[in-house]
Amino acid sequence: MAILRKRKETLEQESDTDSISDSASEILAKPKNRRPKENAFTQQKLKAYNPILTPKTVIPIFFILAIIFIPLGAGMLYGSAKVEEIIIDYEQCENLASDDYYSDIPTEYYSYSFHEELTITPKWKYGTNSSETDSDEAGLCYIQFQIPDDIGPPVEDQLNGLAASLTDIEDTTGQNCQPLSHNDDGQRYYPCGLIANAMFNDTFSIPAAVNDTTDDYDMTEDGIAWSTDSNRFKKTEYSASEVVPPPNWVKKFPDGYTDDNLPDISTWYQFQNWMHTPGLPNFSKMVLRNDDDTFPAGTYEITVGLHFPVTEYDGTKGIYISTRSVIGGKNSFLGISWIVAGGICFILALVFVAIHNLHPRKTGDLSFLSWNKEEKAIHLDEDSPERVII
Amino acid sequence: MSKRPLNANSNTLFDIDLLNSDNEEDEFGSNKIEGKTSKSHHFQDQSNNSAYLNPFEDSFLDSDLVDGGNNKVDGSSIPLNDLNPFGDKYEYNSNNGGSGGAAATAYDGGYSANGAISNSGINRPIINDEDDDILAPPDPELSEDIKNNFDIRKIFSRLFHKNHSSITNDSSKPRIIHINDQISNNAFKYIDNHISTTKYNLATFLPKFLFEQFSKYANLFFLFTSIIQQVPNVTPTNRYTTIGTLAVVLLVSALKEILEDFKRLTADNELNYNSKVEVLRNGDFHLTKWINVKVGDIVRVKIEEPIPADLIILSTSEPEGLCYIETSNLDGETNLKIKQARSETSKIIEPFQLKNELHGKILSEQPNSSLYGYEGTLILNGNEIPLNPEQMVLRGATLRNTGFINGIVIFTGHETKLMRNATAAPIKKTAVERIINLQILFLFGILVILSFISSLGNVLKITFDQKHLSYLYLEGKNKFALFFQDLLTYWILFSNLVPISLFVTVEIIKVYQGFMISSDLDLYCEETDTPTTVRTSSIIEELGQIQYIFSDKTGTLTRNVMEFKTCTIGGKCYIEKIPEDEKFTVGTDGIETGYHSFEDLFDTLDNDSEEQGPIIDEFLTLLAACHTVIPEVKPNGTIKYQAASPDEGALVDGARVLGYKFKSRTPSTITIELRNGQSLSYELLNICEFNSTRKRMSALFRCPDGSIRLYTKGADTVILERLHDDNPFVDATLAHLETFAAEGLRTLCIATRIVPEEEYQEWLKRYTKASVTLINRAEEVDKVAELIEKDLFLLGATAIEDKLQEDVPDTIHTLQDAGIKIWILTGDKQETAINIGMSCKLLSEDMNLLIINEDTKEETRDNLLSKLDALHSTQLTDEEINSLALIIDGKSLGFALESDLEDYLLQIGMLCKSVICCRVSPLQKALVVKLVKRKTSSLLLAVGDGANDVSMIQAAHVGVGISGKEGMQAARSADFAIGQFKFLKKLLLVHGSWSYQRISQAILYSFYKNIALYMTQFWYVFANCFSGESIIESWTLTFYNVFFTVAPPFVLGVFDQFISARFLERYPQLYRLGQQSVFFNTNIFWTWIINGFYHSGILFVGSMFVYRYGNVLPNGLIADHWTWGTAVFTSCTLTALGKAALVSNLWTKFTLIAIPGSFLFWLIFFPVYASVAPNVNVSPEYRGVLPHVFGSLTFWAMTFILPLLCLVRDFAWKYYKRMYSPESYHFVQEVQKYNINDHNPRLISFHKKIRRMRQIKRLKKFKGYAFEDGGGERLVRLYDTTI
Repeated sequence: MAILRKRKETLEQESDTDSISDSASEILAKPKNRRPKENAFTQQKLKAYNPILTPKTVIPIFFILAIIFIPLGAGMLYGSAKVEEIIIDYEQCENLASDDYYSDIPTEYYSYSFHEELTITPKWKYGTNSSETDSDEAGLCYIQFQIPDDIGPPVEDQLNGLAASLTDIEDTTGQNCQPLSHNDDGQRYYPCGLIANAMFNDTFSIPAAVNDTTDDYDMTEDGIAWSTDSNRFKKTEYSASEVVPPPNWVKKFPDGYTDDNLPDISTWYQFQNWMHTPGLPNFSKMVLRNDDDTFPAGTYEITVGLHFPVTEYDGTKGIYISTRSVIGGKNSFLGISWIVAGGICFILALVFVAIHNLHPRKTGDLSFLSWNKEEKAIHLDEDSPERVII
Repeated sequence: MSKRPLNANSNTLFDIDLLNSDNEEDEFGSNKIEGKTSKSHHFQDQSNNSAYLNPFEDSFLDSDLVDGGNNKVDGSSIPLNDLNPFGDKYEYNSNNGGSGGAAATAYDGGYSANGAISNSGINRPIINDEDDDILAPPDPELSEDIKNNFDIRKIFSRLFHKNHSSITNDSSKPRIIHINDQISNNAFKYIDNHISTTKYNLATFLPKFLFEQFSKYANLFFLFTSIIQQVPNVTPTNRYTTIGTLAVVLLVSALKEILEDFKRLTADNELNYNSKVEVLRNGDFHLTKWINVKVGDIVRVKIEEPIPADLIILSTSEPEGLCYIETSNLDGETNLKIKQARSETSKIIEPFQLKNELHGKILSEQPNSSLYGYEGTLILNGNEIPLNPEQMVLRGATLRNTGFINGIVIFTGHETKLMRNATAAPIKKTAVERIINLQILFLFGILVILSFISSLGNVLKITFDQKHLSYLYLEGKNKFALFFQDLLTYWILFSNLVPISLFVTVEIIKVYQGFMISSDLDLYCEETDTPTTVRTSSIIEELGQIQYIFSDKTGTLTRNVMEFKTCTIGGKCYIEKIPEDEKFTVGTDGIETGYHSFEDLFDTLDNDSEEQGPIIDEFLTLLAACHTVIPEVKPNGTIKYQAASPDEGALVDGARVLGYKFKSRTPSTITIELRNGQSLSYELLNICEFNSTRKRMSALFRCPDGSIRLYTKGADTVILERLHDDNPFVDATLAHLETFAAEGLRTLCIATRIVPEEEYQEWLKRYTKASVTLINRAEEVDKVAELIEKDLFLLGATAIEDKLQEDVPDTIHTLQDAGIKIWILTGDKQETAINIGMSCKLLSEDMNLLIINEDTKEETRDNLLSKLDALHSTQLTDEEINSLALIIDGKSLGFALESDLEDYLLQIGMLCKSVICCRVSPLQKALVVKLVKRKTSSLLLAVGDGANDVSMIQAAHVGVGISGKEGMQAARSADFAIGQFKFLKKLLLVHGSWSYQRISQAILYSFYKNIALYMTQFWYVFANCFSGESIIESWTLTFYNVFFTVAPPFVLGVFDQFISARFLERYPQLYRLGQQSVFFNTNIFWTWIINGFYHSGILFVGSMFVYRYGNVLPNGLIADHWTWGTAVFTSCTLTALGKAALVSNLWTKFTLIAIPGSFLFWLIFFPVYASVAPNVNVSPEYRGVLPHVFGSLTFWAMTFILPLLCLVRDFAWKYYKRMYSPESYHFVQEVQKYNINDHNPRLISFHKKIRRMRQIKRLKKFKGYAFEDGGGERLVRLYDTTI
């Protein structure tokens, strides 16, 4: 009974020396179909740059950053410095101003930045004007201020707004009318929501010349809103009977809406501006602008219709007249931050130059490799007698 | 028993393996245990757990009895024990009688119990608790498992597997299988031969997958967040942002799972449908798909074919129903095993016979996972024929050297023992993941705190500032409800502190890294066409942090190919190719050192005048004659030697090379063909077999000249004791043996004696008597053998090289330089193991070897303690610590692994540079790994190639399988499968380091970028009256993670190379960065988090000042919330991308696409999105915003300055650290960048010189010898290869 039978050649027969050549050729003949592809990508040998931070690269980088940033920052600071502005907070007008005559506004309620000094302090006077509305008396604040120098077209007559953030008003998703969607009778508010309801509704006259020093400075509402808003705000399709004004608008619409007074928000630019909610609690909204004429030097008076009580919200409000620069209104922060960044780079560059000169370190010094240090230590012990344990 | 862990089934495969090495049996043989003594085969007994408890004893004793009976009938002269294929085991049983056998089996039973419970729900083994406690080694998994009992996964998986076991729970009754009667069998509804290793099927996919996903904290958290988001009036952002992202994340994970499972399905189908076997149908064999093989079928498996199911052999093509199988897939042993059909059926060979003569049934035990146990009864024509493991071949084995076998299918599909032993790979979590999970919890904590602060702020604000907030119409709001609503709002707002995309990002990165590993040509084994495969991509980064490697030896370090390397004959060394500078020289003491060539040997042989000639002749004749190898002539005329031990095959093959070709064997003769073509026939008189106590093998031959010669080969110690006083070559041979041993060769001494006729006859009588004795037969035989093995004449010695795998010494050396401790766990004997340790440079001559080789627990304890004392009492220098090596024997290891000694073992082990555990069982391998895993926080890697390594591989943090000769079992259950041991070097040093560094950066960066952006939201609450308003439009926020900062983590995770592959291999010490967790640890994590907070602070405050009053637009218009928000977002994106640029070490084109590209993408994306989206009522916030953002110089000025302000610190710090507080890798980066010539090679050569000098100085301590327990005389007596 023989066990020797014909068998298939298998790769396992490598131990048979005589058949090694056979099986080897068999292996070679067999296609290597599992061989990985050979290219730079799969072998992780892509062409690449290997940045290493050395004094030669880092110190110049810091210097270059400083050289770029400081002048640019200075430029921005200069741009901001050229902006002329005056801000007059008038929320205390009804409390502090005299009803009869113009009094100086306390210094904490105004600030300005002009190239020339003001010769008179801004003054205010409080008054009422029953002709404003029939039912209710609106407070008026007459503010006199001086433009000491001809200034370029000031764009903004802004309200330095409320301290308490109005973003709160916005219900979280910004789209929700709750809790002001309808009144107790089930009539819809138009426009609905807390934001519209809280709309700032003081009115402002154009700066009227006082003492005929100059002409009135003509300002317009045109162009105070984002041009893109013309797509957003459309005239309502509600009829006046379907809707009621939000609770805070009662003063403006004491008898509710009629076909005549139903507001057309597509042309109500202040409203459009209001509906662009600000991100931060201190904000401004544009009311009037003049892009063409300089604001001649002189003394002017603005009449403010006081409709919006900010004191009960612990807020402030003010008139803000400003020219503009490429970075908008006066804001030295940007310029300062660029200069500071450049300055930090410059200082770091100096520090690193100093350290590098005091404690130079050779790049790629192998003797620093921790294991090379160990090796040295081992070599020192080389001659110590060997101890055999156990 | 109740204390037993439920999931210990992974051990089961190896339970009985313990018994395979005779040492193990000795170990427990000394314990006095009452074992079962019944040898009955009736099934009433089975319920009484006999099969389970007693696989060996029963089988051996039974075969003994039955075969003995047959022998008497046949009148055969073969000694009884010769019929037992497991010679040594049999002998063991007879040596120690019932108690020893019972002890061993009880030990086994104790272990199998673990598996049995979980595998089948059968709790059959009824073991006296006392026995159990004494015998079962302490279970280190116990405590772990108690903890894990509360693991929701475990509970879940238990539920899932329940139905599986219910099929077979009727354990008390035997399985009845009707032969040749498929209709009756069908009534039992046995499961089919289909196997499935897939994780999911169509029905289970969704629940299982979702469960797995949502057991991750982060996913659960995001699910919760997205549910909150659905509550009206709570969310500050769009309600679909979280759930949308989560869905994408889950989808990606699902796709990955499906793809991986599909691979498994394909592999299953390959087996189920594409493998075919011949099945007896209608009186003839027909090729049938494996899946259609049913219980009760008679199948014919042909040579080299895998076995399709568990079979009982009925008959084979070989004499007496013998067959060879290779079971490397099952137990990792490469040597062939012999199985034998019952003599009652062994003549039933042809199909018609099978059809007509076989009628009856088989009563079989129920399926279980014991690989070595089987009990059944074949009822054939009314006769009850007991069946035992010897008739059983298991699925997973391969038929070798045997034309075909006919077998009846007993177990199919998942009931086969192979499948019952297959354990699902455990889910491994990486150290980085564990840190992340923990830190995520901390981040949740922060999140809750921030939400709490903000909510409280809101409630306080509206309480105390109520009068100022009338415009909010807050009257009547319940503050308490508001508080909780706020909490949820803030929860959502801050939820992205934990990056939602992190897990999916990391997962994709790892898959990609895995792809890169398998694409690496350096890790591709050209010869076997195997690329490295990454099977568990989730643990790739652990490759970079390994501190211990546990390696199998055979097949992993060595090729398991023995090669006859050199020999010393009559005081002269011969070698095929003389190594440089080692030509022989005669020393002053007359002893030759160095080598002669084989040509010299041939010359000497041919030249009759030299006295060396006859010695060489004798020596080579001995090699060609004294063995149990069976020659197999191939069709092409070449001879293949089938040897049970590869050493023996190598010796016979060595003799063939030297011109003494062993040609054929008959039961009583062997034929040797000389170089000149002359054939010599030697009559084989007796064989005294190898075993571990004798350490030698002898054969008595009647030579052609009529004289009787005793040929002996064995370990030097035992041979030297038995030499005649007058032996001229002893000194020279000893000197040569030392040289061989130093080279790590396995040596055997060769000696001979001419036995006078009278002495032989006298001896033969005693020998025959001894070999039929019934008490302590093996011992008696050994004693008798001793009598004739005396006064030997030493001819010389052989040296066999256990060929190492390619580059093993270099790899081991490099890995040690990398700070990895290497433990070798081998089944080899101590001497062999030390030899291999030497040859693979794990040990060197100058090392202090701590050897633990004790027989009892007390001795082991004393030994361990004395060593520990010695180690602690002396102040060790670094060098001394570097030269410690621990060698521990399996038996001592068994004691040392017990709970009271394990700490000592570990302490010593951790001090040693290398550890070698010899004679260990597969289970012990796993126990050692688990011990180190449990007691240290180190990361462990286990590498092996056989099924016996599976438990170790699964126990370690990282399991590496070598797709080698011992089958694919290890590779299949491993996390990584490599073709060669040497690939470990690049796998760990390069891919591991890269992966660890990349993953670390990617993760840290992912956290950072989210915090940098989302923390601006937190600062904002103080400016918006705690209203929960978002700075940035909500979809844009979502897109931050999805589009604009998604690429940098990927480039960091995929393309970054902090040091190139070449330098990582050149400086293995860099690997310590990973071991010491330099790139990712709690400190680093929090510095990144704090950095994120810092940056968000600068971004928020800076932008607030820039956008003060909103009057920042150059055209005089006023900026609104979203204009500002977009500016903040842009600055933040640029900051985050800038940070990514700072941490990128390598800029490829992909880095350019990812980092500057992402920013450009935002710059392009935003205008498009802001113009289109509001028109379709998505992101209405962006209505009209675009010109006021991009058209504003302020926007650009801020966009560039804030990132600079943020990053100038990072940049300066990075530079400062590199220059003035550098780590080693900084230097290497510089060396790499500037191509600095390093002097390391010189240092290395210096080291080599030192080492060599020491080596010469030192005494050569260890000599190796090679032998394995051979196949035995019985086998060689069966074969006649001349027919």
